[in-house]
Amino acid sequence: MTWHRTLLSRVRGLFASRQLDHDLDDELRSHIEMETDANIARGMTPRDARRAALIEFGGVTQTAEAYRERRGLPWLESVGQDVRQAVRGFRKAPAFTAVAILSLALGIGVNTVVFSMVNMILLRPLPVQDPGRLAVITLQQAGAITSPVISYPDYRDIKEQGAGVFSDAMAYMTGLDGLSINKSADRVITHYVTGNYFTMLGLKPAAGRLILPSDEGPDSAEPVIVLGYSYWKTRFAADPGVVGRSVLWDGRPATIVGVAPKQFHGAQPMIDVQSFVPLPAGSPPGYRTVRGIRFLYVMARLKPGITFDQAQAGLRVVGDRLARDHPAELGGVHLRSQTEALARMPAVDDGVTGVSALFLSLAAVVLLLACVNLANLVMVRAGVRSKEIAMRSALGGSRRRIIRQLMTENVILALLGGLAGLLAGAWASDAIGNLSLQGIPIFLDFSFDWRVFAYAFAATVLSGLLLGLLPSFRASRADLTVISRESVRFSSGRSRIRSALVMLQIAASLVLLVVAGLFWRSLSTMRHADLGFDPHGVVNLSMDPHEVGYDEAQGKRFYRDLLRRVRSLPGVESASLGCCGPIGAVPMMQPIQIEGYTAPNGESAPNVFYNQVSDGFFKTLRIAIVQGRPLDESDGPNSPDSAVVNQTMAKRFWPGLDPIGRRFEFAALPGHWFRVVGVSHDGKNADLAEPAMPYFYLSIDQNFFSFQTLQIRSHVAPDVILAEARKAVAATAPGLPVFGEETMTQQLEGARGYLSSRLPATLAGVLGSLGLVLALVGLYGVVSYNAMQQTHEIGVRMALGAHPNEVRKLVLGRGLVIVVVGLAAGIAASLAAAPLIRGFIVYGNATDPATITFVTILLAVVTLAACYLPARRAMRVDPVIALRHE
Amino acid sequence: MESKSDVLQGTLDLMILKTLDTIGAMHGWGIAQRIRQVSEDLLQLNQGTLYPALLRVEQKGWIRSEWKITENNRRAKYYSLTRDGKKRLVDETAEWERFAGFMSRLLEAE
Repeated sequence: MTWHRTLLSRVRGLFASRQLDHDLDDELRSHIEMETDANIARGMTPRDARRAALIEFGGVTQTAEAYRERRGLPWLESVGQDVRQAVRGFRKAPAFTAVAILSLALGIGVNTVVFSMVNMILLRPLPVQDPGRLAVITLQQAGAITSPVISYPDYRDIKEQGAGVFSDAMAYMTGLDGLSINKSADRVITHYVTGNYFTMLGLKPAAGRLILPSDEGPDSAEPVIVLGYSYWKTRFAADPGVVGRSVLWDGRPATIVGVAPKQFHGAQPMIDVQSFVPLPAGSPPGYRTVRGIRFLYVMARLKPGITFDQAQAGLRVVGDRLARDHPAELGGVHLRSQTEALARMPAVDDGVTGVSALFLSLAAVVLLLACVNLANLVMVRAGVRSKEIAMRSALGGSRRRIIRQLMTENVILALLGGLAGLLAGAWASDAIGNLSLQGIPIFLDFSFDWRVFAYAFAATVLSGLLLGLLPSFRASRADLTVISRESVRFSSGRSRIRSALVMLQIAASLVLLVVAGLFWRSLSTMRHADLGFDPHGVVNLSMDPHEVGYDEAQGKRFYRDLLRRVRSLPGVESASLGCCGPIGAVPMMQPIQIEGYTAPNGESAPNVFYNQVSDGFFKTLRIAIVQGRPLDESDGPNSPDSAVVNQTMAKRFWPGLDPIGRRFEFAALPGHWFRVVGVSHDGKNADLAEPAMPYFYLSIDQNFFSFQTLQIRSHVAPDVILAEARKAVAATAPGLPVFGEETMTQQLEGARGYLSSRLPATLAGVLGSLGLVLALVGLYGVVSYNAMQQTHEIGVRMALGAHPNEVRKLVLGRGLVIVVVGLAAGIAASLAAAPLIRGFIVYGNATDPATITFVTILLAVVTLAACYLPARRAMRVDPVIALRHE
Repeated sequence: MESKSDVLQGTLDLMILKTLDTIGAMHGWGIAQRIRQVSEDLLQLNQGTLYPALLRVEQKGWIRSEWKITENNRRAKYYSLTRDGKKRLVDETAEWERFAGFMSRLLEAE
């Protein structure tokens, strides 16, 4: 067992080398002196004695070197040398180094971010017990879009009649409430849950207890509250003493009984639920019996041994029975069960799953470009250096040693690139993770995914650097004759590979740019589309007086007083309320029955979006009334309920008829008629990408809704008017939280506005630009390298009288072929990819000729410029210099 | 010029151990002198090779070194056997004798 002692001493030798060198010098000197002394004693002159001593010793330097090699860890030391030399090399070629590291960083960074997002949104399982056995149940009726929400009696029937395939089923809905402690109300995002919500998910409390089936009680019961973990941590500093505390929940007394587990943020992805309260809290009156009130998300757990197919079959039986028993509400109903992961995106067929797939593909193209680029760069560099390498091997560098040197360079490059990619990825993750959605606490667990990073890192390093290493092997085999020849030319085979790689780059970046162009075009079309209202000069702020316990009468009085106060503020042109202002909160939707209208065969009652607004709404937003009158003060509680419908609704349900005076009712509330008093101009309501669809407005004086957005049109600066409005709210209802303060223009840029289109367009634009940059670098590298290699040939030609133009043609010609072939392949690929992209382009055509032409010309100009620069340099070569190169 | 014969690595280690065992703590030059005397100049040891060998043996923990003043008032590094080194010398000696016996039988055989 002496090896560890040896190693220890060697490691010491590595670090204390100066002291030990000194020791060695002393020791060898004393040896020589002793030998000299002995020689003098034998009768030699001092000079001869010293000489003889040195001869006897046999080379002090060699001994010292052998000694040093023995002393330290020579392998490690030579790695140090390799690293130092690599760094020197990088410093001498800063452009190469920067581009290589940048390529790696972009490839790795972009992929890490995109894959992490997809992972977060689609792949990461819910942190509950056995999440793979959870099924999300949705409802579909002929002629209507899939409804993710189900009525309470339907839920009970599914739970009881589906007991053959589901061991349990729970339901919940999401809402906002006021939680007051010491008189200051927090707005909290709440899940109103059935009592078995936590037991079905199989969760354990972080403190206290969770909600139990026995907590789901009658309307009169005092609610119990389970806090979300992060809310508990930020608001109550994770104090376990909060359990058992009395609070005011929407102005009513309630008790906190426990805290949800740390990793659990609610059964919905991406929303960080702050409180959990058992039903009937948050549910509309009559919810227990009326099948038209659909508001619950339903999740079931598969019985052991039951597959999803079997569950679906069992559910179909339940659905058919429901359709038979309740034809009015559930005619033609089809119940669907999906895995929780699949159900995360409401419209799986063309929703976010598709967008993710698209961006995954685009990111993969960027990664491909980065790899190709790196391979090209490393190959070019190896070519340039083959002379140096041949020299080193001629001077006695062993092949292994030389390859190791090249490997060291590549590894350093990879590490630097990986580091840069890591920084880029982490930065982008941070930027995306900080997104928030109109004051709603969004839970974006955008933790940096190491597996993804490792994947991208490995892909880049392996493909780029190993491919680049091939020429090193070849170069290290080069013999001396290489040096004597003037230049080391790539074999034509390798040059063909590189040309093909550049064509690939051009083609791939053309596809990226076309996608980017299509998104931008769609966005710009959207920006110029008619909104139907005038967003300029309007500010919004939202509130919900039920959060401080106001009932309907108190709420109506509050809003009346508030409007009076705000309208009297200086500079206010008009002020009004709307629950789901355009491009704000999600509009409400109800199936309606229209007097004298029968839905086409097999279709259920039409589901229509609507808004509940105060008088002055149309004036504030400048929505044109094309017929009849807007809703005004006359639409009060004592007059018949009025409605304003939009042009599409009038045309759809009363084609060719005068809509004024027509009536309709909610399918869930038969007998409560709304009379059409006016027709408004069509406009955007839920989001900017929506097609024209039926929409109507009701008066809040007749149909109250507690959540409202106050909208003010004024010519005062937004900050000033918002501050005044806040004061007015505080004066009217002290302690009422206000949120969503922004101008209408800001709201348009938000999540429901252009953001949803801008984000993909930006992402595609960034990816496209990256592709362009990478392709340019690759092309420039190859063409300029070829030109450099041809310097000699060009010199000869020019000396023999060739005109500069011919030389230009020679150099440019090769680049031109690469560019043309690459562009043609890119156009073909874009056309082939068009069906995949079609679903994502809101406005415009996936094979839009203008976009493709524009991108092709842009790419042609830029890449030809990249060819032209080296060509011009080649042309200016002085024949004498070129020939002297020999 | 005829080059001085290379000595088998293990042999040189054994020579160092045996020399230090016989004459006690000694510096490099002294060890070289002693080996030359005992070999009666038959072994023309390249004195330089002694030092890497000394380092190697010291790294294995068989000898230790310390700086001392010689009788001629010079500073020199003195090497001496450790307990491990003494044990090693016994083992190596036995091993060498077996090897030498085998070599001579091999060479004497017809």
